[in-house]
Amino acid sequence: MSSDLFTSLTTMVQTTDDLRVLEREIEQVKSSIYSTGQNDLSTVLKEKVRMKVAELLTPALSTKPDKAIDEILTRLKQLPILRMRIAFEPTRSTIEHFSEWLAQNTTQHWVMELVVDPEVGGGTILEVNGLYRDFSLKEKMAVAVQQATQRIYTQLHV
Amino acid sequence: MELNTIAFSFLLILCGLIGIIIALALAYHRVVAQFKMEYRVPQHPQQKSYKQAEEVLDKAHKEAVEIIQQATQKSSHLISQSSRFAEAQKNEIDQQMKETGEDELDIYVNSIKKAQEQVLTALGQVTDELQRSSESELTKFRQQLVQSTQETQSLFMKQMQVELTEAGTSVTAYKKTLLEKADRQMFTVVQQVVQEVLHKSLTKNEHEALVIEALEEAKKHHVI
Repeated sequence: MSSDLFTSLTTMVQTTDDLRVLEREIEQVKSSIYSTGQNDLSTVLKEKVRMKVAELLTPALSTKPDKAIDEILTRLKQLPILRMRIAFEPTRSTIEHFSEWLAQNTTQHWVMELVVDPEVGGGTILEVNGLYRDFSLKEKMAVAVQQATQRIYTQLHV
Repeated sequence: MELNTIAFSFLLILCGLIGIIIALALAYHRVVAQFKMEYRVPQHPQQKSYKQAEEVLDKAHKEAVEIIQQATQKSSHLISQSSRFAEAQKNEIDQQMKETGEDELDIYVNSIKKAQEQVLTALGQVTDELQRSSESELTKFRQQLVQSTQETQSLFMKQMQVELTEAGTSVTAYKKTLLEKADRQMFTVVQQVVQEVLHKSLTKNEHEALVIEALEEAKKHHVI
């Protein structure tokens, strides 16, 4: 499998929802490789997967299709997940905006898992490989208030 | 004591003489009575016999009177003698008593003087001893008082230190509790402000900008 194929496929994957959809499509393709009739490979590629996905996969299926599919699935599962807790409901453009920034500013292809939580206030709380970091507005305000409080306590000799 | 014994002896003698006199009087009276009984019964005795009898009676009477007088004289003599003796004895005793009294008085006075001197000496010694003892006791008491005061002071200071430490710990704990409570309350206020004010007042673009800002910060901290 060429690296270009996988890169092209991952451009379609910005969120975990995108990843699940793509994995389901590839699984269907995989199961159709040795099938005949309504579920044969050509039918599935035409009717059950997105056109772009079909276009990207077709060249790779010419030789050892099952091996190529397994490799794609394996690499998809290895994509890093970036869990982001945000305060507002994102639109598609918002997701693209974030994805674009990540693509331009990091070396990895991140798959975002967006969770809406109004308590965050603003900004985001990130969770990467079990590492939890709070970059939310709530946290920033809490730190600012705590520092102000400490200054007041110090002045009051408490 | 001796005078009393002598007087008692004389009194006994006097009583004896009086007894003798009474005995003689009784004897005379009995003889007369007997005679009268013997010589009254015959109503016609001879005049001679009567006369003789009367003579005998008179004689007996006279003798009896004489005996009584003699006895009286003797007794008077004895009494006077005894009185003189008693007087002499008394004088002698008085003299002896006087002499004895003077001697005893001298001895007594000397004894008193001696005892007084001894008492004064003893009192002086006792006073000195008391003074020394009092000074010693006073010094000991002062030392004990100072030691006791120091111990009490030390104990008090230790207790104060313990109580101050405990009070400090309590105050610190209380302060910590208050601070935690204040922090919690402030956190709640911050949360409410963030959720109710900021979240609603921010536009979609502002939210996106804040997220991008957070991602930049995460990159800076090598989170992504």
